[in-house]
Amino acid sequence: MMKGYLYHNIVLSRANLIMMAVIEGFLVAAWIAYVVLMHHANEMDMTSATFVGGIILFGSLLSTELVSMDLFKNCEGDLWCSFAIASPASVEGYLGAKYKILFAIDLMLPALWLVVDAILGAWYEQTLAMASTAFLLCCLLLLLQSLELAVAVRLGGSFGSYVKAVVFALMMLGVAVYGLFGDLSFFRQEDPLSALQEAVFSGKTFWCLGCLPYIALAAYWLSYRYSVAVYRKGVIHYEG
Amino acid sequence: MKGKRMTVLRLILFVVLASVPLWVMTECLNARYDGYFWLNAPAGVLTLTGLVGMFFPTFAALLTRLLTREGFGNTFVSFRLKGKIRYYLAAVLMPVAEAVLGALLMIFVYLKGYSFETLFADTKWNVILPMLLIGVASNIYLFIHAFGEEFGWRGYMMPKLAELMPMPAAILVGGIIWGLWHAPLTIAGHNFGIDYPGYPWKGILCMCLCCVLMNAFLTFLTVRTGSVFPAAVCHSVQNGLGAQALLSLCICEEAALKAEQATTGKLPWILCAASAITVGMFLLSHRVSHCHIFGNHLSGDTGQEV
Repeated sequence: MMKGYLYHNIVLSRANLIMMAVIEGFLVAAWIAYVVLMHHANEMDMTSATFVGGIILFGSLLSTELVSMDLFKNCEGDLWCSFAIASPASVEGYLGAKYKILFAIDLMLPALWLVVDAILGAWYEQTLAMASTAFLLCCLLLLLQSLELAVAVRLGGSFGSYVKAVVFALMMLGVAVYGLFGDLSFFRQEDPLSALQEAVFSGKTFWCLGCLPYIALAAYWLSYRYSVAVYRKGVIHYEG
Repeated sequence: MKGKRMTVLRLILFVVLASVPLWVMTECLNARYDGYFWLNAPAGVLTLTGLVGMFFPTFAALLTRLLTREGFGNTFVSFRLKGKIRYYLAAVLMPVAEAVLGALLMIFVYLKGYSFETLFADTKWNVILPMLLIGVASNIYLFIHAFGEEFGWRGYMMPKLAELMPMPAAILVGGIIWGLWHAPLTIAGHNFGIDYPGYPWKGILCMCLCCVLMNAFLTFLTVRTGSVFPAAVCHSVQNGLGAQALLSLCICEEAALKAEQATTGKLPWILCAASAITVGMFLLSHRVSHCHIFGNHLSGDTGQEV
């Protein structure tokens, strides 16, 4: 039954999966082209590479969002929900398939950039390690999706999207506030990248980063258990 | 008999298809980097080699299934957590325990003259502990390369061996095959370098011993969960967190250098001793003699799904 649910979800979301693959391919090609051109021009500067790499990784992260809400919105119909509840795999298998697909997509992000890093690292000595940043972004994505999916199951896909947008906006607001009033002295230093790394990888911030992957995994699992518990209550809120 | 003959044929085909590309790749790299490529090639080349090489067992398993028309049932690619979480936790905690035990053994054997205060005088625990947390977590999330090996070894080879012989013998034979598969890398300087007496045969022997010990635990994980994912996670964490790396992070530079020289000049039997706790745990937690462990999965009875 589980394989059937996995197939069902992949088929329903195939257009978005293909679009995501195309966007990821484009971003990978853009990054490789950037690194190759910079090395050929002997202008490989780690600070600007960090900035460009950050933008590319952000785009890579956003492309995974194409699939996440579609997985739940596609199945918001009374008859289908009743079928899912009555099936041998029940709600656990039905929701489990969706959570597994999203988990696999999230893990694909750092794995893809690990391969890209390995290929570029074999050709050039000096290159930015994108996989480590992609890994931390993947943890953040898991954390956000834990909240989003639980809300979507309980209150409907649209509401889940709104909650995610609000959380994301709050995060951006936090970054903007820090940009206006926080300590940005590392930008004025000779090597701002090293200064930023020194600031991030020390003290409480480093401990938070160290615990983030485990918290993200635990939150994702708790979100799944909560979703299973509240699925029947949530069906009445669906738009289908 | 026909069934067993086909199983033997598939096993031979799998081992050949997994080994030949690795030998070819290492010979090309040795030629490119003046021999012993593992010691001479840049770090980026080694990373790419590792990534590519670790997928050879997967390609071999897929090709063998295609060529022998075996189909793709019983691939042990499933992700079930219900009732299995303790095995996933063990998959992460065991290699961490192994690395810590290996580091402690290296301290007691090679660094006897150093006091506790001297060894850890410069240790910034506020930096190292979060770094280790991130290191372990990144190997959990990025287990894909280890999956490349586990899909072939635990997902394909071990069930075939379990069909032909009792499980303890299958673990021994499987570990030896796995260790011998690493032979071209061991000859190129992987894990043990080249400056030890008895190179490369003692290195290959040590690798086979380590692989037998690891195979016991990884097979245990695969059988108990019906999936190669816990074994892949365990393998990934083990690859990323070695006793020597842990030691060099935690202790003072002079002692770390001394420990590194000690393990470069001599074979790291210490690491094999640390790995022995895995087979010890396996024997304590599971009665090997009553193993029909792949039996249910081979017959297609995969039990209740999540």
